[in-house]
This record gives sequence, structure tokens and C-alpha cells, in this order.
Amino acid sequence: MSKLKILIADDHAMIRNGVKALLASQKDFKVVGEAANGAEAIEQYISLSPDLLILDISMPDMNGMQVTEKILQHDPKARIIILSMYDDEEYISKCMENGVMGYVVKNETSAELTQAVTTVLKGQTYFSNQVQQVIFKRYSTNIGKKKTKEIDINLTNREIEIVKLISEGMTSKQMADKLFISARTVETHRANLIKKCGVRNAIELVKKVEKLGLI
Amino acid sequence: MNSSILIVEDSFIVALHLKATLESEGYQVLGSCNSAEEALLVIPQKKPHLVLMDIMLNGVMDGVEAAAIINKKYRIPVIYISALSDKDTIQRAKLTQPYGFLTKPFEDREIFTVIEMALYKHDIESKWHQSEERFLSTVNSISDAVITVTTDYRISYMNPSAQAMTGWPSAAALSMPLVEVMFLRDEETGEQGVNPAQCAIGMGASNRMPENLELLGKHGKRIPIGESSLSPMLDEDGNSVGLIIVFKDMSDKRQHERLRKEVELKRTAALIEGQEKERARIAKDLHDGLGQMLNAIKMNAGLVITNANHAANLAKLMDEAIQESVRISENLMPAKLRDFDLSTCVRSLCQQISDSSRFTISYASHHAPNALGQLHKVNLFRIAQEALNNAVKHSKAKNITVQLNDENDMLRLSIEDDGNGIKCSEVTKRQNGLINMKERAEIMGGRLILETDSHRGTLVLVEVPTQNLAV
Repeated sequence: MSKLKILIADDHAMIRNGVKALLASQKDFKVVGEAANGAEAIEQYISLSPDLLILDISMPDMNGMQVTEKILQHDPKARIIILSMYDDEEYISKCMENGVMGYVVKNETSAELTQAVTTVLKGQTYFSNQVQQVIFKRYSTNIGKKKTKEIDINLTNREIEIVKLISEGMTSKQMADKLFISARTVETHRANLIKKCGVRNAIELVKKVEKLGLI
Repeated sequence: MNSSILIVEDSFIVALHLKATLESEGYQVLGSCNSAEEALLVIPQKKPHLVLMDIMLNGVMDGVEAAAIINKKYRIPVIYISALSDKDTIQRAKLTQPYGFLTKPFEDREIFTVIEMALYKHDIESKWHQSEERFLSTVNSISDAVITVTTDYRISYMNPSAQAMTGWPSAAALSMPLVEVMFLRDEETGEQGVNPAQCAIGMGASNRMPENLELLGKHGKRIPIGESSLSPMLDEDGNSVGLIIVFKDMSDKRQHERLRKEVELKRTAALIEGQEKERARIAKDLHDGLGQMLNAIKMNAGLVITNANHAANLAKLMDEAIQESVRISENLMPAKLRDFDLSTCVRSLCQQISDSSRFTISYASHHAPNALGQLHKVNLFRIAQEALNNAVKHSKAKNITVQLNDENDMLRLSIEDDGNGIKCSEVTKRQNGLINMKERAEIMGGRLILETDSHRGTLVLVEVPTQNLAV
């Protein structure tokens, strides 16, 4: 059986060499190509049809997320592992949404990357320890958020004040005079309130806020 | 020099007697004419100081008619000497503003008295007249608009500048109510028909019109006016007899100011842009350059070093170095600003600050903006960052709410806390941050509103027209 083919895309030669050296000891697969930017990565992916692409996010011409989208359009079965400096939730979720099969942060141990490569080549997904931490954290904060949001719509003191004055039948101009703020600021508060409370007009707004017991 | 006198008298004997009498008293008699027509020919040549005028004369014209012409054309004082003293004659003579009227026959002493009085009075009047003319020509030629009104606020005078600015010719404006001629609009509030004389006029004190007024001229032009003064006109007893209104056309000054501000804003924009680009470059170099290299070294070291203890120690040191380079880089310019939209970046910022502080930061974006130019994105992000840092450091708030919406062609970013506001004493300390936020808003053609008080906390609101922000 021939060895499985791996393509590495990273703008730093040191990283490419490091990954190559790390994978050299493995007998089941070999690195067949290297790309130093996004365009090269796509080009080589098409010409080499590797079994796996190890892809960096931050590259000079286009970022790894854009490269992922392009390659998956060309080959929906493409197996991609992101190897990046970034461990922010935004990057991880975006890459997962895009359909990468693995994500490893560059400062993790070599074992994580080796593990990711073998797992993904078997057709399974692999998200490193550090990546899992980030995803768990997001999930738990979301639970917290939902709880508070269901209880009350989060209105600021100023917004509550504005609703009170609307319920007293004041115009924006009158409110502005009373609160020593500009009429345009009042309009902004109004617009934000209507959006936040999911209502269509001032009357519905007052009703809703009364119902919530905020005024 | 002796005063020169012209005698206009058809009676030869009377004329001769008068001449002798006057000369004996030291006056210079230029001659005597026996008709009004002759007198009118002689006067422009000889330019007498005074004319003694009989009413009944030879010729078609009588003395009253001649006196009227002399008064109007040459402003030479005229004293009537006449035997006529009926009501009609006196009435006609009066209208020519004579300096005296002597009924024949009269004593010699009488005529000296009347002549001396007339010459003195005329001297005073012509001096007054000259100064009035000087004054009028000054007022007429200055570029400031000058309008005077009576005590019931009707126009009594307008200089040419005022006529040009209001578009009202003097004749049409005379006696018109001031508010109709000076139709003013408050540029700030849009209020129309601002009364120019609304501020209290203290006796003898000078006052100003409100600022930011725009004059809507009869010609349809709008002229910004300013540097105004309102002064009461007082009579000799100190009673108010009207008001003097002086103001300037500020168009040029405004234009100049606008240009100056534009240039300044461009310079600030270039400065901030350069700074952000530099930061982005350094951040990228640190993050992607140094950081990556450290990672590569760590990876290689792991392969080379066989002693597990050594490898672990080295890896730990490397990790610290990597984390430090990432931290510095993120402080300079978050990498996310390159790869994600503004809403995602601001939400992430709120999340980070929430995680690392005791504050509850809510983020709401019901209508997130479309793709923004990178510089605008950075500017808005920096404003959010500065405002949030201020709130966290100084407000003593419990809750901070950040909202970002793009609706009705206006992008609005607000950062609001329920703390105890910014105290005046702190404003100066935190001025740099506030100015920086304001400058960034203005660079985008938007504005920054800061509202703060001890009960409601602080609100920082940025509004930018969406059309300014396209990629």
C-alpha cells in the first residue's frame, strides 16, 4: 500500500520544516508538498490531491479560512487540519463551521499534532486539548447568558428612563429638555429600545416594558 | 477775517444805508442786488458768509423763493428784512429755515445782534453737520451692517452693508418692524424667526445677539452673522430712543474655519492611520514572525533533545516567550480585526473584558453593519476599547452595555454604564482618551456624544453616516 500524502501550507519555512521533521518518523505517510501562501496551497492541493492538508491561518495573501472554503468547494471530501497560532474562539468556530476536520494550536505539544494527523487520516475529527477548552468555555458562558436573557430584556438605566417618559406621553424634544441631552440621543435610545424589545412601535414598547415589571 | 455779507434789497436807499451801517461795524459788504435772480448769480461767485434778504424784490422771483434755493444749494444763512409781517408771508418764510426775520423799520443795533447770532449759530451748525457727514460716510462705508430701530422696534436707518445683507433697500425697509427685515434662523436648533433684540438691554450697556444665527435675506441668500452688538440709543436725558444693531457677515470667516478644520482633520486622520498601520505591522511581525519562529524552535528542540526533563523545561520557557509575544501583539492590534467583522471583534472584546473583570458587559447588535473599510473598523473598535477601558477603570459601574447597530443610513455604537459618571476634575485627566475618541469619530465624518452624570452613569455614543464607511 502506498503511503498517504500530506501537503503543508505555512508561510514560515521553519514551521514547515519542523512539521516535516516531526512527521518523518511516521512510516504510513509522507509530506509530498509545501506551500508558502494561500494561492500556492490551493494550486498544489489541486495538482497533488493529497490525503491531508495541514494549513496555517495567518498567511500573507489570503487567510486559512478563505483557503479552506475554496478547497472544500473544489473537493468537498478534503481533509484539513488547521495548525495556527490563534486559539481565539472566533477563529476556532469559524474554521469548524467551514468544515475543517482538525484544529491544533501551534504552541501545543508535538504529540497533539501527530495525534491529529493520524486521527484525521482515519477519517475522524480531532480537536486538540487547548481547542476543546475554548469550545467548552464558550458553551458554558452561553448557558449563563441565556438564563439571564430569558428573565429580563437587559435595559440600561437610561433606556428605562426613556420608556417611563414615553409612557407619560412626552415627545423626544420634551425628553431631551428634561434629561439635558440632545433630541438625537433620545431618538437613538428609542430605536435601540424598539429593536431590543422586539416591538414595532412606542405603544408596544411601553406595554412590553410594563409587563416585564421594569417601570 | 471779517464776515462778508450780501444785501438783496430793491430799495436803493435802504441798501445804501445798510451797507454804510454794516461797514461801520466792521463787516465786509460784498455788494447789493435788487433782484433774486441777480443774487443767485452773485452768490456762487462771491460766496458770502450771510445774506440779508428782502422779500418784495424786482424781478419774477421773490425773496422767499430765493432763500429756499440758497439754503438748499449753498447752506448760506439768510436773514429776512421785510416790511411784510402778515401770517402767510411768515408761514412761507419759516419753511426756508431763516436765521432771523427783521421787520422794517428796525434799529441798527437790532441788525448787528441778529447777524452775530446767525453767524454763530451757522458756524456751530456747519461743524455739527460736517461731523455728522463724516460719521455717516463712515457708517455707510464700513463692512459691518448697522441698523437702528426706534423704541417700538421699527427700522429708522440701515447702512449699505445692512441693505446688502438683508436684501432690503433702505427706502422699503424704513419704518418696517425689525423682525420682518432681519429674518433670523438659529443654525443649531433650526428655530426660525429668532428675535434679534431678545436679550435684555441694560441702560447704557451693550449686548450681543445669540450665537449661530443665520440671516435669511429677502434675496433668498442665507448669511451666517455674528460678532454682533446691540446698544441702546440714548437722548441727552438718558432716555432710550431706540437701538443700534451692529453685526458682521461671517461667511468668509466660517469658510476659513471650515477649511482650517478640514486640513486639521486630514492631518489627524493621516497621523492616526500611520499609527494604526505601524501598530498593525509590529503586531503582525511579533505574532506571525517572532511567535512562529519560537514555535518552530520549540518543535525542533523537542525532536533534538532526548532528555525528557530538559525538553520539558525548555518547552516551558518557550511557551512563556510565545505567550508574551502574542500578548504584546494583541495589545497593539488584535489579529481578529484583520479576519472578522466589527461586530464579532467588539463582541469578543466585551467577552474578554467580562472574563477578566467583575463587570457584566452586555453586547447587543440587532442590525450589525455590513463590511466596513479596515481603517473605519479599527477606528470604531478603538473607540469601543477606549470607552470600555474608561468604564472599567473609573465608573464604579455594575453593568456596561455596548450596542452596535446600522440602521436608517446611520451606524451607531454606544457604550453605556450605570456608574457614577465622569467628574469634571477627571475630564482633564482623561482628556487624551476622550479627544482620541472624538477625533476618530470626526475622521469618519461622524460625531461623538458624551453624556455623563452621577445618577445615570456615562454614555459614549458614536454616530457615523453609513455612506462614509463603505469599503
